[in-house]
Amino acid sequence: MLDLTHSEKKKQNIAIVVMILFVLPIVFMFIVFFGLAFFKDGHFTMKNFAFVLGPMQLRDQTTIKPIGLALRNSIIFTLGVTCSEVLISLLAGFALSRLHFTGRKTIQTGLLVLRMFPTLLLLIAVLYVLITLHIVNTLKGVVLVALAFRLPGSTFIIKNFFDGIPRDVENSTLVDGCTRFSGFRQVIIYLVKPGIVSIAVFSFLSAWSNFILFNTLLFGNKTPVMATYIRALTRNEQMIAPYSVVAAMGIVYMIPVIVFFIITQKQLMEGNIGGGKGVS
Amino acid sequence: MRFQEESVKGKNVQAYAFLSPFLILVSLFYIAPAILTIVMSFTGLDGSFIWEFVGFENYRKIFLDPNTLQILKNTIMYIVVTMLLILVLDLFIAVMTTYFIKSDSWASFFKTIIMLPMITPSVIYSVLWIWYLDASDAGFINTLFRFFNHSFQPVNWIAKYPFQVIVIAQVVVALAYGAIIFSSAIRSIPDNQFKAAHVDGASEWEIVKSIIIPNIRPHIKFIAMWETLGLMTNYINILLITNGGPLNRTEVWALSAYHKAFIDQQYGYGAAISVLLILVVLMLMLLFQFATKHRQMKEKEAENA
Amino acid sequence: MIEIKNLKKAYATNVVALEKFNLTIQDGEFVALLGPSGCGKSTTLNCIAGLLDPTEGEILFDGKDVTKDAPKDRNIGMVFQSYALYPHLSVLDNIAFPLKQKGIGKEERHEKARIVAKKLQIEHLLGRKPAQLSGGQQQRVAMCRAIVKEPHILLLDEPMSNLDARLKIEIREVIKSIQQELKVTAIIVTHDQEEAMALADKIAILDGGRIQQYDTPDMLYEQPANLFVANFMGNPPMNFLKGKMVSKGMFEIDGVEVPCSVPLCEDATGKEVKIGVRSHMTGMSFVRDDAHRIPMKVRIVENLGKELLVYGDVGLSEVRISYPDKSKYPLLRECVAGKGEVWISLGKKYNVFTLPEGMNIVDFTKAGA
Repeated sequence: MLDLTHSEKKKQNIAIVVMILFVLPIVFMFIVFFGLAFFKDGHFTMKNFAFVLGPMQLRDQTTIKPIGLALRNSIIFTLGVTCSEVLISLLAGFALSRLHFTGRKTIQTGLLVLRMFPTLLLLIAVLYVLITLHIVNTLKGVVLVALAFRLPGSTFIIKNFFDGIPRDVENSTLVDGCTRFSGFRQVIIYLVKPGIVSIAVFSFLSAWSNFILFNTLLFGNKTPVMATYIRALTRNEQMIAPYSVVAAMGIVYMIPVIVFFIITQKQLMEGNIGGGKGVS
Repeated sequence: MRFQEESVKGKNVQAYAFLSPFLILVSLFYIAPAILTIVMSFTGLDGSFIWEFVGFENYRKIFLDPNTLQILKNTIMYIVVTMLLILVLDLFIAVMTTYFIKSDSWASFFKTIIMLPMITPSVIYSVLWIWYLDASDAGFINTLFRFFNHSFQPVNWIAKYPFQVIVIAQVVVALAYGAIIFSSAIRSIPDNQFKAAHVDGASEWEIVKSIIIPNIRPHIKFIAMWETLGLMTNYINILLITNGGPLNRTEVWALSAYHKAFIDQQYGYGAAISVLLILVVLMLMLLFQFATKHRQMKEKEAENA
Repeated sequence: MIEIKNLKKAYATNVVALEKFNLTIQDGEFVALLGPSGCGKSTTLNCIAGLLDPTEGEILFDGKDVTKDAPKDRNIGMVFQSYALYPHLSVLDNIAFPLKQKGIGKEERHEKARIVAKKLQIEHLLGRKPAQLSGGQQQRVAMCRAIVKEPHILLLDEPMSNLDARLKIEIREVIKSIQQELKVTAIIVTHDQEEAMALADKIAILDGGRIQQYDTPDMLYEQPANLFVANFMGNPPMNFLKGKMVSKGMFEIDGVEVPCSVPLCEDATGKEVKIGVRSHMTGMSFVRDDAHRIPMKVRIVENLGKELLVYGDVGLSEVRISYPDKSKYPLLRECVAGKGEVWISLGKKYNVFTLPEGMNIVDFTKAGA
């Protein structure tokens, strides 16, 4: 317990009240909205979640497809992106940090530029590339694009972690009888574990929530994901589904996010720079 | 000498083996599109997918378009206002939760709440605002106002104040990042600076002004630049809440590129708009790199002196 | 036996860390590489370990060329300055790690680790993680890990520089006894000459990437080959008096003619010289009972308990004298105030270094032991 002086305690209490007032609108917004999911016509009900089990009938006779396919695609996409991103950035980050080779400086500088470059502006050309490679309108294509956009950032983070590993620890593995690779596997990897975790977390959040890539690179309704599934019912001007249903969908959509968030709260709090911003 | 040459080549092979997935992916789907975008901007590529070189025609079209000025104004206003709001509020939050509130549990509690908008997927986040400000009676704000004033007529907030709405929506989402960074920066200010100030009888406001802010100035600069870059290029929330409307009132530069390309199917034209924005972004990035190097050099000089 | 032949290490930036380096170390010897920062000692050690590739030259272990071998194939144990323990492994696993790489089974390697840990008195720490240990304890773990595989050679890279003075002495004893017990060839890199003198059978003094002298500690102390070595060895450092050889067998120091009482290898008449005398061998008196005594201006007097330490100037040269007669303290204090003067003599044993080469031209074969 901290020992605070009288005046410090007073100031703290005022600050707490101020902050409560400050965040109240946000809290309200979330609680009330998601609360809607449990009410229909004023009664408490779980009927709004019907889309989980099968097709759902709305008041105006439109039918919503069940969420199963979108959920499945989102899971496949997210797992694919996150696992690949961690693996590829680990390899690349290690090479850039520890190995000496020609072109090292160029790639390092390139990394700095690419991680801050506005990727969203390149979608037009990306679409063309996908068409040329015959993978447009496929989940696979979007996975590759998502990876390419995120890799410079993740690699940068991992590279920094590798840079922070003392030379001596590495040398010690070599003296103790390891090859570069076995030393990596047995020791080095553990030292960058926090980096790996933070990349995995941000990758997951970004991939799961991603909307714009699917919106522009997938057409038709063959491969829905959670984001496009929900968006299809919430066009700006006209809400196709009532708010209560959307709220229910929102809850289902956000359950993994909340779970992940609670588990890894520590990592997110430590102000991880660089990977944090892309939750779109 | 041969010993050295062999090992250099061997090292290169080994390194590029590690790097190949990264390089392949980034070249194909990041760098190639970047170059392609520039090339595209000089063509009249559209839905027919015929490549014909048109020179600077697209760029001319941008300058001649009567909407361009409006869009430019929107973009600049949006960026400036949002960025300033974010900075001020981030500082406010950071000072509150790190300096005044010494208890870790309360600080974490508030930070968690502020992070909520950030981790909410955009499609949901935008619906939150749309519902909040819904034009009909069902809208939350309208219901609230009606609660206090029974003759209150429901207002279509988004249609009436679109600019304010997108600014506020973006600010709320962006708060968490800067707040966390400023928080840890404030936490690393040596305690004795505060002690000295207290002994000298400084007021809290003075402490914020003369100790906290100067100490975290590099972080403030970083967030300013980082947010500006993001605001220039991230059009997703605007797309989802107002879609640039009504009547281009919230159409920002990046969004117009998206619209021209994917709604109007004018890929070449859209590419040209993107290229101009990319140029501005690159200039900003260079400026920031230059400023950071300059500061690092000055710090080195101060150390050696 | 370790042979280093013509080792050269140059970097792309035209920095040459080592040049024309030749060294032979016999089995079971404890050798110290001693020198100031940047003299190339760590570079040499890393080349021997295989962590650095030399630009030129060869390294042979028992006649076998290992210059191109990876560290893991050289059968060496190494203790790093930062200890470099593996933070995610327990102390037991840390120590057993080298044996794991050799493919030794879990039971066996844990047992061997325990034996070694017992030898260094850290068995009670085996379940802990490195972060939970003090500096001295981490050091012992590092040592265990280095010796558990019974290496041919033990390399120590400034292992004690992060320890406080008391711990240093304690660990020094541990290292010495381990090396003697295992009879392993050991090479230690250090900048602390006391440490080197205490531990090593032979010391190689390095400066600027070259060996200045390679000899037993006693020889380095008694018969330094040049100014650098003479200045480096011994605490307090040697006194150097600047003078000139005015004729064969006669110096001129600060205007005083002093006969040279040690045999010289060469005729240095007319040359500028520096005469090196140990602080406890410099004779000091309060009267000029001899025309050959040189005046000294006293600046500071310190009472060290077992003796007095007198700092002064002879001409432009700084001098430190260990004076055993503590009763003279007040008298010396008056000299500091300018109310008295002292005179020094060279004593019976001293070194003569020619300038600018800095080589010691005393002929030790003729000088008394």
